[in-house]
Amino acid sequence: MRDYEIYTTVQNESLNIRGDRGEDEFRDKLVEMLSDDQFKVLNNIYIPSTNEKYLGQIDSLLIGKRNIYVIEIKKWKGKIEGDLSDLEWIVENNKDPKRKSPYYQNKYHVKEVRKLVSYLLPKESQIMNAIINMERDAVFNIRNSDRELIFDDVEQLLELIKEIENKEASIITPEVNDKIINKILQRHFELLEEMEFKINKKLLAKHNLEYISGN
Amino acid sequence: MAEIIKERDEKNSSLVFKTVQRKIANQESNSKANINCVILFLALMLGKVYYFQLDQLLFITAVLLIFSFFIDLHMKRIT
Repeated sequence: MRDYEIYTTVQNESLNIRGDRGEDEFRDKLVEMLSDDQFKVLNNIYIPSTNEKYLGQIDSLLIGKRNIYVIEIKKWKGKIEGDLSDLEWIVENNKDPKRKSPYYQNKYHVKEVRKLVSYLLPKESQIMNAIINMERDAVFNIRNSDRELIFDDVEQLLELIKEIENKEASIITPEVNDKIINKILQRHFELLEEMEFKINKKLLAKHNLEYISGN
Repeated sequence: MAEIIKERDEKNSSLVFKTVQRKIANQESNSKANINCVILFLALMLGKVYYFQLDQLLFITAVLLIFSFFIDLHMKRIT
């Protein structure tokens, strides 16, 4: 939708389409590799943004048996260089090679998810920041001294998640799982309605249409 | 198999919002069609004036009209 594009953080249309393709590829791989039905996945979830004009967006949120994974999916071509502490990474396949660090960007997403659901989670559970570049035609050179979940191979990432989740017994019960999902979806719809209200108000006034509530 | 609770393109806009968007799109396409009719009419008028060499004053008026119309359209696009 045109008006959503204006209000979300994604502004470059070609990048947007590439990103969407990456997200679809990731979704298919995830379904293929994570065979346990206790894994629940929410794709494209809205969260508040630092800038009130925009909506933040989580590409994929994976709720496992022990932890939650907030996954940022990229489809960046070329040589990608940077450090965990860098605010920007260098992607050598572009006129403007500096791109916002997805790790840094996703840190904020993790913080928002923590605010929402940490009271529901058992103490041992973690909310993890995971970055995956789905582009095969890329040289990923990110200095990852803290061994964070930053990968350019989707199978490696999903295998690691499987390993972490299967190492010990499940601690997130199906009831808690449902509560987490409901809480996240509830926030998603609240933000969606807020944003629609803003867009509607502006557009309706412009086109002399009556205001219709988002409810 | 992992259960997908929400797909990427699912639940990202309400029905009300979609309806409003459709109404606005209809309004925009109607106004575009009207503009195209006006342009066609002016072009025909201009052609008639030019080929039949009617009144020179009418010709200049038509050119000015078309010119002002395009300026107006351009300004609307900018704002």
